[in-house]
Amino acid sequence: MAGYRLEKGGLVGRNETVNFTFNGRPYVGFKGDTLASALVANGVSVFGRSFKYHRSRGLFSRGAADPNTLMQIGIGAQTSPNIPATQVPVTDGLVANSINAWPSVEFDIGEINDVFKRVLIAGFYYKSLMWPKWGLFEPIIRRAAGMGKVPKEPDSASYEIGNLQCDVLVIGAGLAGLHAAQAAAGAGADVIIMESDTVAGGTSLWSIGANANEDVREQVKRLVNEVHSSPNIRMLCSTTVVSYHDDNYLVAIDRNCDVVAVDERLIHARAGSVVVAQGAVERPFIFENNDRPGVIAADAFSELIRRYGVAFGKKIVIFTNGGRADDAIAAAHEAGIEIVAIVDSSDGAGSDARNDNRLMGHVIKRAMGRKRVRGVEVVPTDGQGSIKLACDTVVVAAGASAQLQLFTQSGGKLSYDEDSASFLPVSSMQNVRVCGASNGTNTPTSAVSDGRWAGLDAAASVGFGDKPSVPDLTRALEKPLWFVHQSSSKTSFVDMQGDVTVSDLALSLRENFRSIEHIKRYTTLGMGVEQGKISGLAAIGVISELSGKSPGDVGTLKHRPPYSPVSLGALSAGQKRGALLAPIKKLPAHKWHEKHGAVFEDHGWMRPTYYSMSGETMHGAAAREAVAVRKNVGLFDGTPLGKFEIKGPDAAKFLNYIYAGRMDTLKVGRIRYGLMLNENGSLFDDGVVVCLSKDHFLINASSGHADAVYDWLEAWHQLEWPLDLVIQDCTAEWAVATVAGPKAREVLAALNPGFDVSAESFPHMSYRAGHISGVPARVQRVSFSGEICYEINVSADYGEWIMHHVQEAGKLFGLVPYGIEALEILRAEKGYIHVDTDTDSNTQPKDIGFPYPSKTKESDFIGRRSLMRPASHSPNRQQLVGIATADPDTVLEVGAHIVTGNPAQSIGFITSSYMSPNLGCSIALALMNGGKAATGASVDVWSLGKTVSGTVCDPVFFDKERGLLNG
Amino acid sequence: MLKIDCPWCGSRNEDEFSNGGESHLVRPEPPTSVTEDEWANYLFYPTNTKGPSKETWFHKYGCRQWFNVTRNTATHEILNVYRIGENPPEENS
Repeated sequence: MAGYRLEKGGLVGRNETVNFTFNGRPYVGFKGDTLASALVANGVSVFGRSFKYHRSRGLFSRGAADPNTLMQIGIGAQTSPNIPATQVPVTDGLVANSINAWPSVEFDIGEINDVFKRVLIAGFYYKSLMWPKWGLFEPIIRRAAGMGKVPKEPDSASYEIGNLQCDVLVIGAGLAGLHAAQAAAGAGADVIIMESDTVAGGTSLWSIGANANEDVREQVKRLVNEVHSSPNIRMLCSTTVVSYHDDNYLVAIDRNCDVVAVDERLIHARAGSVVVAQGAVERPFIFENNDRPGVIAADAFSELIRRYGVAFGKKIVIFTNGGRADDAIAAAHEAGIEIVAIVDSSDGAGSDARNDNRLMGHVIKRAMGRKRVRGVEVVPTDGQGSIKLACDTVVVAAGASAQLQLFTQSGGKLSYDEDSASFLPVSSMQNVRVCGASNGTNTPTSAVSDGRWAGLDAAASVGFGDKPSVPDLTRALEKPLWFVHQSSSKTSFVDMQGDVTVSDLALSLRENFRSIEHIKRYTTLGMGVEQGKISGLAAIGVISELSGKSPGDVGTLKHRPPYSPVSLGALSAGQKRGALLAPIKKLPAHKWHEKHGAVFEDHGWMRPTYYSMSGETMHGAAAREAVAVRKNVGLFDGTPLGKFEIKGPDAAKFLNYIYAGRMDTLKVGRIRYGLMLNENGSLFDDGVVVCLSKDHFLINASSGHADAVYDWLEAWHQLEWPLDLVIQDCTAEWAVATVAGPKAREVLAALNPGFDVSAESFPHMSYRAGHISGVPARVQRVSFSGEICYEINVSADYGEWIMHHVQEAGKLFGLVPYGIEALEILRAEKGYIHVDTDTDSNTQPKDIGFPYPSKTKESDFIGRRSLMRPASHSPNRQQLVGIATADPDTVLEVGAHIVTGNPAQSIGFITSSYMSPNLGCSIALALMNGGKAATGASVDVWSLGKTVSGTVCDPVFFDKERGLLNG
Repeated sequence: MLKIDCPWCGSRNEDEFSNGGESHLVRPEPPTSVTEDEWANYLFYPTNTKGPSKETWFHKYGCRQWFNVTRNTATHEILNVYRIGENPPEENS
């Protein structure tokens, strides 16, 4: 027998029906139902299949805590996996499907796993990964172990992000939370209250304590109305706080947005103080087959009757531990449900005589039935014999699990309280307090006084009102029954969602796992959507008994965000998706590049890799461009080059600190190459320094390092050398057209820049300012290709114009545009390095041929002392060398190792490698142990599974005499 | 998400800042007279305090100014904020 709708009762809108489907079949519910309550009302018992063993599972708990009713909600692009049916309000047209069930929830082939439990034990993955043929099993196991499906289509839902600030943030709108909010607001604080349920009121809406009484419910309704109408309280229902960060920064998801066309809103909230009033949920009793559909927690059972007007079954057995089930018993009586027996594990000593059909000192040993409970076997706690009782429902009241996940996320500490058999908050790291059932209170009176105290204390902590005195609270006294020893441990489930049993925990202890955190990872305990909300304390209790430690010594599990599942869409709210994820930086001349067939790559900027002519490959195009530069002239867009101006009386002195080389001797109009080191003496960046005037310098940084160099300069200026100067980033102010090649001078002359371009008056490593067609231009004669080369800087507004203009001027000389790939070939032919590509975090100047510090430089510079360490002078350091392969057509793989000996040892690695179209052979740069001294030696390079023979050579492959450069 | 009181811009979220490690570090010089131990101590041996720690922070996505923060590394509580070149507040009085 399954559940059904009661004739009357509940808070659902009985006049408003809602149509929805579950596993393809149509059902009708009422407005105010959750998917779970509506399915129970329709007689559905089996909601899904379990994760590992594919056992039938039904409704067990409520809200975010339910482990068994995970649903796939929606279809197509809108589908979301793994949402508990207890958290889904039914709406017209809702489509829900079970997860983990194939081919159907009623007949699931995976249930065969239930038979093979002995194989699928704790640590199954770790053990089976050691099998030689894991690859054979993996696809099958992965398919079987799925948890819902991710949509294949792009998400069509819309998300928004919002920021909120308040004096006091209350989490949970139950009795304690509402009173806390009201008290804080009364003291003058600006209050926000967030409730994950669709309505405020919490358990007070349906659990009215032992003193069943309409008045309490009316009081709560009045309180909700008062809070709603209070001018300094903002109440957000359907809003789940999912994470708690430093300085009272909390993240919540609002699923009931008042904004048109927004499905979910991500809220970032900063609160002065926080009140946690998340309540508690009933945890499971742990006995054989305690996971069967029909076994339900007492609080979920009462909520079904009083909130949704739904009975979970017709004949129930209640399993309790003292007085915990009184509310469920009252609810069953109200609904006219037959109580077959109340199985009470306590001996009854000291309690009131009860005139109900109570079996004192008894426990349920096992539940019978597969897709629905058919009965239970009851045994005395001490002694022999057993009784079998027929029933369709087992209501369990084992003890409360206070919801303290967010409190522990905040840094709060818990301590085990023997009397109430629960972990209670003892100290907090932030401005936060816990009240109500989260704080272990067990009566409405206690919840009210605790809530009022928390609200007043929170308000006082941020300057509103006086600090209140701490109230006396009552807490339930519990003698916990952590698990039923008479039951078979193999089917006694501690974590129903992860299919973790008592025997799994016992196995992990036998295998010497001691920390609860290690046991968690080994058994997957509490690692599902439920995140230990009800299984956490249950497991601590079981481990406590199995290991003979007190629960306090077993310790609690560290809770991490999110508290309950969050859609990825919500986390990417604020349009941080697709093309809007990160801004795309385009060069000023982007259109010009496009027009010339540029193929772009994102290097922080979208930069042309090569210019494709009539279907060329990248290699073909790059080779053509690189040959054209050496033969005639090429045009390159160097705009992303880092450009910083340093100006002030101390500018030269500062640059002397920043660069390993001397910059104070640089003459106006001249340029010097420099290396920036870090304090370890390793290369940080390289680039040229231009002396514009005695107190004004322009420095260039590698394109990819521009941002880091800017921060670097600021840090040293502000923290170490507060000299008289200013630093200005002008990277994006200037567009750079780089003209390189033997005919570059003719092109520059044709542009008529207004100064003498002859080799004598404008030599290599010098600078001139001029005008090109009236546009101010800064021209640097520097080279990254070994050819005569001019970097023409104009205002970025003229970025497209200058490319076009240079191209026009270069037509006569055979000018071609070239991209990054050709640039790389040209610089590698010359042995010019890229810092971080041809160097690593150990590379010092000497290793690449710069024997700093020079004798004439007296001032300190960053990293100078490190260059004096003995290790910096070792002849075995990794040094930059060239590698020429024996077969000129073999191009080595970047990252390939230079090896020696047997077994082979790495003595270096390839950092850059190209086929040189100008030399007609492969070229490679490498970092090699003692490489300089090894010049001329034959080496083996292990490249892509093959040994390639080569020779160590000078890293400069082309124009060693630098005749072209200075021409 | 720490709330950091930039001495130039006021209270802003942590994600606008970056941490630069311990402050009041004295860089030994001149290099020719700095011993290996002194240099190693400067480079590799931060105090790594558990508890109140004096740090430099950089308001990267703001005023781009560096400043000092005293932060409890165990609780993340920020105890005070002061400018570069200033003494920590408790040492002023």
